Amino acid sequence: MFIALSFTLAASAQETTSIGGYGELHYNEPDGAARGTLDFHRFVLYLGHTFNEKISFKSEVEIEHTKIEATGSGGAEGGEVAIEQAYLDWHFSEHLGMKAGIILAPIGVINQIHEPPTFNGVERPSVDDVVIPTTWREAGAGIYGSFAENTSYQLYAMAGLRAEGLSGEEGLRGSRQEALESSPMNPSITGRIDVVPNTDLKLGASFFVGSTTEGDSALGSGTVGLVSANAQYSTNGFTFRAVGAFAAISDADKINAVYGNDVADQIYGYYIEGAYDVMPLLCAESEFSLSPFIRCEKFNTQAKVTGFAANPLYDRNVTTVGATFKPTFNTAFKIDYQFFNNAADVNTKQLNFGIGYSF
Amino acid sequence: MKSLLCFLCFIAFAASSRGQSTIEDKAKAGLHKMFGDSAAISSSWRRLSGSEIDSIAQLSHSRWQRDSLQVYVCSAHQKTVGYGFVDDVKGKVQFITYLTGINTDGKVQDVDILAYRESYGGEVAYESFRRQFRDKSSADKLIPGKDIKNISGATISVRAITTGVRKILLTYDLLKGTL
Repeated sequence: MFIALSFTLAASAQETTSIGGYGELHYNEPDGAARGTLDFHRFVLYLGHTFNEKISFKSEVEIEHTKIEATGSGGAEGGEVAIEQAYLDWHFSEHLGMKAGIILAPIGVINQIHEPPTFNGVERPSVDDVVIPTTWREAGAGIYGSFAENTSYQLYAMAGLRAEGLSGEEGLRGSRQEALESSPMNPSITGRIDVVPNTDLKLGASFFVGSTTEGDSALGSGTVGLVSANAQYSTNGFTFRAVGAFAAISDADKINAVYGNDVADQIYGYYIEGAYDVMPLLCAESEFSLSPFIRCEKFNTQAKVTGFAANPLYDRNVTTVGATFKPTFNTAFKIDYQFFNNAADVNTKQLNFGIGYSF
Repeated sequence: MKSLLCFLCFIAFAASSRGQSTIEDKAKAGLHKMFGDSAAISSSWRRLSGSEIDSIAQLSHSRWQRDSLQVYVCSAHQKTVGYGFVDDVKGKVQFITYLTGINTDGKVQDVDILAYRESYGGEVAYESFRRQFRDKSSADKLIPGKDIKNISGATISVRAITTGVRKILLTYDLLKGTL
């Protein structure tokens, strides 16, 4: 939650600036001989400003892996500093608002809402890594609002993906431009609709469509079309989340011919997750929550290929079993164990601990 | 891309030129919905003392950021049927302005969101969320996530409105003999 640096007596009268943030420390220990690692994976600061009651600025600056260092011969992974969101928000009414700047593609669940206390598991779901390339943000503009009771929409035009970065292993992930001197030549459209039939259930559907080839006839159209659906249900301490996404890439064979890559024609992934808050059973008066959970993921970044054989390593399953302890709604202590396997019968496991916060 | 930008500019100007009703207009319309179209609505300002503000803050974990508040009184046939309180609570960045109607039994008649200015979390304006407050009184703890259900993706707004309504109920309890 943001902390007001200055407070107004009348909400609409004065400018205010807000800060906030979130972060997460991870311990990952692969099964076997490899040693575990402690990593403050994400440290994020929000900065927001309200110019008046209609117009505000919102931003999110992220430091990943604590510091930036060269990826040297020792193989140390360099960290990253990135602006993940920075946009002007002009809120005309509950039916219509407009955003312009670096904005999030409104796909799936985690890409939009990724504060660690909002999801189970130390690591974000793998589907939200390689199928929905979280955090997916680009320079763009568009509109949002609600058009009926219980229904809201978002519709944005944003800089597109680039064919050069598409890959067989990580799907769309490497093709994001992330508003770094990004090309406007692949303008793309993305949007979503959310429906909340009651306080227990939230349903969402989202899409992204755009070319990746900047009109280069050697690469073809390279149009990426992605559709996603999600459902979140909670009742009597039980929470359930399901997310699915399917992406199709046209002319993948031409892209592969030019870049010598192994981009698939089709990619898909989905996961289902169930959790139950057992704290009321342990201590009825407690305001803490303790939720054991299980998440099952299935994803294939080479679901359909042309001109070569799909790599079975990319047809993957991940099962995550663990628990999330939340002393407050915005702090979390997490533990889980993950089972990774694929169609090539390579099986690995990993133990994870984590802490996370947002404010 | 150019045509899209033109479209967005058109939307911006069209939307900004639309007439907007004031918070007071919206509050009165909300109270008519709660207490009947024929209800007469008057309002007056009530000053809160330092000890009253402290006492409410201690019980509600939410503090009035001003020392006077506007109280709407709704009456029908020369008889008071309810009260209305307008308040602002902080969402993620912007303030949320909401109306709480309380009947003469000290129970919430309804809650109405008069202005929601964020791009996320607007689900708190949905009737399915707001109706959870009906008939709640100061005897109810209104614990977010337990007594009032959370909506995924709107947690900050849900908590802000829930603690705000509890603050209003406790304020009503303290002031009811003097309203």
